[in-house]
Amino acid sequence: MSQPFPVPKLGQPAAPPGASGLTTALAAAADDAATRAFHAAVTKAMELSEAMVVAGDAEPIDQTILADTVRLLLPAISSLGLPSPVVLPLQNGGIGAEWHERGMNIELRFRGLSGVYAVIEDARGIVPEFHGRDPSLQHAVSALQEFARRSNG
Amino acid sequence: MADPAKPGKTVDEALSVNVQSSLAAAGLDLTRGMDASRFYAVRIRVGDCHANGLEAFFDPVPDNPHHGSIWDLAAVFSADPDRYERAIDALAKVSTILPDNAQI
Repeated sequence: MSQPFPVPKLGQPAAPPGASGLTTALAAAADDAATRAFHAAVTKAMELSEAMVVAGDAEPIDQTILADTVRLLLPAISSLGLPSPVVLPLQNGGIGAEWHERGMNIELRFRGLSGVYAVIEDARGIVPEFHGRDPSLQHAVSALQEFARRSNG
Repeated sequence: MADPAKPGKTVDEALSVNVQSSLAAAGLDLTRGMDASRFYAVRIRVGDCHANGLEAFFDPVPDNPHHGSIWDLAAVFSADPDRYERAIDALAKVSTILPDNAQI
């Protein structure tokens, strides 16, 4: 059995001073379907990470990286009503968020100080291909807006 | 090896794999020991590792005689994080997903 997910349920009051960024980000999040799905995906990734740690296959997800991932992605996911990405642990405590639907491949890799690395591919050729650093998620948000249009249209 | 982003913390130096020829010689499935409810297995060829500047070799360990290592990922990450990401991309694109209990 995994450790409890270290955040309060969505919709609870904001976390007290000193709480982690992840706690604050999720506690303050809107209680919409997209946010709940993302919360579930993050929980699943943490459970997978814990299983891998127990098996000696990986290091734990870095809590700072996780908090930054949620803080950066949640506004876009919630406001665009996006389907949740697949969230998965990466080597050395990093975390990835990926969408592979609607003809698009959007992969965002969070590894701490090395910043966000984005892979954006669109089989329809509408969104330019991009492989590189995307610290402000400029490329990612552009791709996610197109992805939302296809998902919700 | 030290993590340049986090002094005092070490990073994985190699990506652990199972070597297909070793599993085959022992008559084992390619997905031996894998929890298919959580993971999937992929096949990566040695030549594709070499093509991306990575070493791949048979590297048995006490609890896994079929263990192999794909080496240099940590060094590449330290020297050039973007090249590391490109190498991961390249390996992902040339790898093939194996069905559960796949035989050679």
